[in-house]
Amino acid sequence: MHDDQVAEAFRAAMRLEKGFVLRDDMSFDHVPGWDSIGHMNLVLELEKRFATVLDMDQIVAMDSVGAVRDVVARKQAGKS
Amino acid sequence: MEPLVHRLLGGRPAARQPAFLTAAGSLSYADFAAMISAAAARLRRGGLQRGDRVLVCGPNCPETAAAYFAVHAAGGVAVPVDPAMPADARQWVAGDAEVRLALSACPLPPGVPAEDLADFVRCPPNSRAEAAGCGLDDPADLLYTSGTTARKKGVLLTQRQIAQAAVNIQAFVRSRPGDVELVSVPLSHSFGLGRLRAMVVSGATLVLEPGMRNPARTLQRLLELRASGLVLVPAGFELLLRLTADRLAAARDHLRYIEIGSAPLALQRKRRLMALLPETRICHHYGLTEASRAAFLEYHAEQDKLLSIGRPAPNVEMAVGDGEGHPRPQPKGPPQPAGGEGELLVRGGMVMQEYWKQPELTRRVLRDGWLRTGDWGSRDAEGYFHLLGRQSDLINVGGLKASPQEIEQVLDAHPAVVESACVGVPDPQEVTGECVKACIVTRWALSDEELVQWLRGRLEEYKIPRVWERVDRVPRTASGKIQRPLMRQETCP
Repeated sequence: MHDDQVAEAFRAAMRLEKGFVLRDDMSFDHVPGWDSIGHMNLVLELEKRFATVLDMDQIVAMDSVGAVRDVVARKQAGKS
Repeated sequence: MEPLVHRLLGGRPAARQPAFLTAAGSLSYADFAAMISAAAARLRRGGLQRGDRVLVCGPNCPETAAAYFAVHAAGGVAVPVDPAMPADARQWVAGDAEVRLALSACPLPPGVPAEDLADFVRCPPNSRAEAAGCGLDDPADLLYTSGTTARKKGVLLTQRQIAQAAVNIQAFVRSRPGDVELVSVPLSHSFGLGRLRAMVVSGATLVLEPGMRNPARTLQRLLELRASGLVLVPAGFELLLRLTADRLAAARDHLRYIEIGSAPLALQRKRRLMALLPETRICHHYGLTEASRAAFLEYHAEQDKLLSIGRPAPNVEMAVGDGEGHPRPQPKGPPQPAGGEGELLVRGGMVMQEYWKQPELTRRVLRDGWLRTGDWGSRDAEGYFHLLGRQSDLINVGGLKASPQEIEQVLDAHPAVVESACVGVPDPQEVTGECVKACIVTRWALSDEELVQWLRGRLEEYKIPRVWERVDRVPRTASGKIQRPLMRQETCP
């Protein structure tokens, strides 16, 4: 399930507590630890978990939890 | 020389020139001056007296810049604070500075009289202020920075000192009207404020970015705007290069200058930047909140000296100290090797006035106009200075300073923590140069995540340790002092 993997990538990248609930409308200001380092860690986590490489336009688009899910979904759809 | 805000309100730079580009369009220098003038009038009507402190807490945007200069125009002292600063720390700063008012984009604790920053500066157009009410020797800024103890230090700068810093920066970086400069460092920090003040001298146009949270977006903006200037901390370049590979090279035909500062950049990164941007002036500064831009190095022009921090900035003197805060004697004539290492000293018109309400500390660091930097270094035969280490325990996380004692205080307040000790170690991800390592003794097993959650909201994100080590005891000397050098090793003994 992509969504669970995306949530796990967020948890690992931002060092979130287990009970933290991610919503699609959450952006930088709503997710603790989502600063520049957290963003880089998120990119690395997603690339590792989905065995892919994100390009600049995709990284630019990742400005909310929902946008990250969309980027991953499109990337996966393009693969298959 | 005159206060920078006098230049702004006096119609220099050219009124029609854009001061800022935003998503909504451009804001001319004339409109920016009108915004400052009206907000200053409002501050005066509200009873602001000369020398009163006003906390300015806002994101990177023209309104925050206008609030900063409006405080000056009204004769007050600006106390810029990062909106990311935890509420407790903001309250402490407001109390220590004895602010009369806060212009803030985020909520402040009760007891601090506050106005919404954006609403305050968007005054009715008919409110007009008389001429700016500040002189060159009036205090202008009170900037809080991490000290060698848990307590933050307030660095007091006069109008003359910030104007001199702007002149010095401009003399080296040489931005000009028509330049579009992308600024990704916060206006609450000496680095970002330096760019804001320099624009008053240069007449350049600023694009204030909301930090580097999405580095790829910063690069996208740089390319879209065909910006001619870029301002970033080394960690920002590291992120840009990692996430966007060589795309920065696409800016080579319009990016005329870069200013980097607040922390070192690895030699291989400097070389990569030079290769990607062969025609861009890449200006790296060394400085402190107490002495903005003490030295500069331009990578291409001084490529044999990339391991140094450069030479003193225009109108600035630097020296290697004798251990007592005095420069070692130098023979007359061309610069000679200082004959050894010592504490780096800085002297110039931009050096701070004093530490706020800390006369003892001020006397310790200021001697005959020389500022003791707390940094250890040397000078070579060509007059270039080399940074060899730091005398204090401060940790430099990508250009932001963290006091280990401050972090330890918060960690020690956790019910499971018996004691803790923090130190700066190389960032394992090689992004921020240093990061915080914490050695902790706990009463019961505690995960790193639990500790991170405890610290979040109590400290800024960059101060949260990224390396943790559980120890039986914190290494101390016989007198009880924490042995921080031992802790920098991979595993505490």
